Amino acid sequence: MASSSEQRSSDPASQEMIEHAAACGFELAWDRYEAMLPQCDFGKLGICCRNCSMGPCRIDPFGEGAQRGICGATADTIVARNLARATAAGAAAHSDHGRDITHALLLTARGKTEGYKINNEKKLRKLASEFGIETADKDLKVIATEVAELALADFGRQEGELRLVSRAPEPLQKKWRQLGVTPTGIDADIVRVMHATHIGVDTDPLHLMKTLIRTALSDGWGGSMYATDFSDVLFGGPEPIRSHANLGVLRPEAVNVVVHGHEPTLSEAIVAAAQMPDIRKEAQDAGADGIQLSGMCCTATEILMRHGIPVAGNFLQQELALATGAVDAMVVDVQCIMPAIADYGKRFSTRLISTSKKAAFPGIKHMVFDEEHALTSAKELLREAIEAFKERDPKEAVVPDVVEELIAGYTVESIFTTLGGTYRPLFRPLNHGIMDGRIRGVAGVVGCNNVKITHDWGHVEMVKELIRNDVLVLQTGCAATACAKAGLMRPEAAEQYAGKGLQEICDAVGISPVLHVGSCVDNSRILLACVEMVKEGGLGDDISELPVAGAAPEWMSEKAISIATYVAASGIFTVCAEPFPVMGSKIVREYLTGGMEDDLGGMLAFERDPIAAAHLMIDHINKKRAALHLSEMMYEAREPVESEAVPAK
Amino acid sequence: MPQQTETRTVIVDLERCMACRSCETACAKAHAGYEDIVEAILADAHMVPRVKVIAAAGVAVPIQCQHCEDAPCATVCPSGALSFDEETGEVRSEPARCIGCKACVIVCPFGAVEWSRRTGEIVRCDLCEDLIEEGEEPYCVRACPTGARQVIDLDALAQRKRQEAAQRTVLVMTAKP
Repeated sequence: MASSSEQRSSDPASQEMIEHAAACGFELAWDRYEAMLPQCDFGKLGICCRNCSMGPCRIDPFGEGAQRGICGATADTIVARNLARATAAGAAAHSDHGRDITHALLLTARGKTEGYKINNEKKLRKLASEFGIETADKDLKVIATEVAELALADFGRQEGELRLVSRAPEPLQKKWRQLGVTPTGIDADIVRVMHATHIGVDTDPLHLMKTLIRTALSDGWGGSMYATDFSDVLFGGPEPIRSHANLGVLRPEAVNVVVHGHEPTLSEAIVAAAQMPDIRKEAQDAGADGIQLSGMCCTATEILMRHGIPVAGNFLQQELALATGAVDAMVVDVQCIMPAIADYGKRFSTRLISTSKKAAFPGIKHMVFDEEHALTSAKELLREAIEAFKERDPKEAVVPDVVEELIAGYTVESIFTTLGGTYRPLFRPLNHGIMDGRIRGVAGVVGCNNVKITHDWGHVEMVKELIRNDVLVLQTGCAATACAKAGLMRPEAAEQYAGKGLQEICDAVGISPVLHVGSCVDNSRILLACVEMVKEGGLGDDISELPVAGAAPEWMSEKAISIATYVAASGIFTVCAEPFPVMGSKIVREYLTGGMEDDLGGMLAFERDPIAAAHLMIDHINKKRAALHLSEMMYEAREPVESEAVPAK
Repeated sequence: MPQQTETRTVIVDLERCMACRSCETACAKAHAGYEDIVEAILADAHMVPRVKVIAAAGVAVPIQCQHCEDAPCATVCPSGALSFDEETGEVRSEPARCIGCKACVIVCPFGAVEWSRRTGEIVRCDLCEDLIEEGEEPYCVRACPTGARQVIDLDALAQRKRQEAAQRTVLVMTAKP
């Protein structure tokens, strides 16, 4: 029997659409999950190997049957190799995204793009100075070219260390060097994993852990960080901005265009094109009251952060948005796009269009977008949507009347103005808040949605528990969207849910207790916020000494494996809900959840219950507070607010 | 003497078996008292599958207790720990009576009885009696992703085969040359 809409999602808009989809006979990810059960236990434990054609091999987890693969690989080797490949795939996804943004900056500097310009001169100059580029008397485009070329060289670097490694605190850099995990080059580190995991190469599980940590670090302190930096340079550094989230942002009377995926190059052009008079007129001539742009997944967070474009939903809402029948075009690029969405193109007049040269989908129209013709391509896409609007049957459009207000747009730079004001150093109010015992610490709660846990429930329950205990929360991606929809990104949320100390800080500086810092590549902002906290002083000399923790309460993608690994390898205790597929190896499991902390100051934990996970984080933060001899917390944790959410599946 | 109403057994459609060994893991987890393999591994649970997927001539063949009517294991068991249940048609175990002589392991023609050194008990398929009594399927059957495993009533199976044979006979007889 199908699970109930309350078991599937804790979000009322999603519940409504799940019921609507069931009534219409639309199949959703949750239905496919139930049809997939039971899932393979060898896969869950990570003990199957398909790396050569003598296999597939599986290790008997009961210790009686085969204990080694045909080549002799043990469960430990197989688990380590599989995790390394997953990490490399995740790092590759972020870094290839970063490469595209860097390349778009280079093309723009060379005057070859249509519709883009350098929006953030200040950040570009800062980067040039960091990279040692002489900027005096130089044209901005020349500076941008030199910066982009140096960054692109980091993708192909063959020796030495990745440029941005120098942003990490010295003691952390030293730990990386001692362990031999300092990233070399972004592409080379990924290739190294693929080579090392080929049959008969690296078979020592702990040595493989180093190889995968290196590639994860080249994501966090490389590909992702470049993606963030150059998106800010090209499209503007986000500033706090008001907007809305949830399926209710779709308006039946407008041409609804949902941009879904990850890279902001396309979505930025669509944002620009949607405001052009000729396109607006065409939409009005078609009988619409305008073009309603909204976002899905991380593309949503990119255009939310910079333009306040509303968010239609997170990962598990992509099918639900289409099930409304009110979406005229869903324009997708890369990552987290379910091929199943093609069904809705057959059912409704909705145009489904894939735009990346990297990704095509069966049953979805492929209109490759390139930066040289960005605006022209964006207009073409919008015209497809306007045509679809003319064909749309208004009777079929069902949009849940659910939408929540939020404030997004926090970055390491914009917290400067929010927290400290122009004349005070950046992170002093935050560090002082922590030292005084008003704020217990800071948590990054990030990641995806996963059908194995009630949609949004993991994120929202964990974050409420953290802020109740005076932990300031930073969020990215689908996790951020979940909490935005739950109203946790309004300043009023401090009064409703936060502990007294955190509430005082929020009131004083006018922020919500949960700050939206962007997309999944923008987890690099969280790393840099930690760097700033160390620099500010009073909280130790390394990230691992800070009273901070990370979590991915609904993670599902290989990107999340890379993120969790680089966050932990940067010294941050990180809790993931679903266990990594490593439980078939005691060596790997114990390293990730223990030994890694001795080497790098941070480690992973696996806990599916979001409240229990929050307490693992709080305990860790308390431990770090004690080690720093910080003041006792000023106030007791607030009483829990009665939760209406149903327990997870 | 109780009347045997039906003779149940698990059958396997070998053409559908993909050798994924989901039946093995499901059986081992369930008999160790776990639903989740990760929890079982972390708890260091004693997991022994009662069904084994064996390769023979390039075909995967799941092997388990056949619940023989004239069960050699029950015949040789000196302590009455193994007995044939006339009512259900199953070979039942009473571990408390087992003296550990291992005669059953030696005589089983299918190799479907094992001796567990760790628990000091014999390990064999119990057809998930509790589940079947509640009208549900055994764990191995539920876990099979291709539906290769089924619980069937032998009488019903024979009846179905007779029906199919009759159908074929008629087709052959009425076929025009």
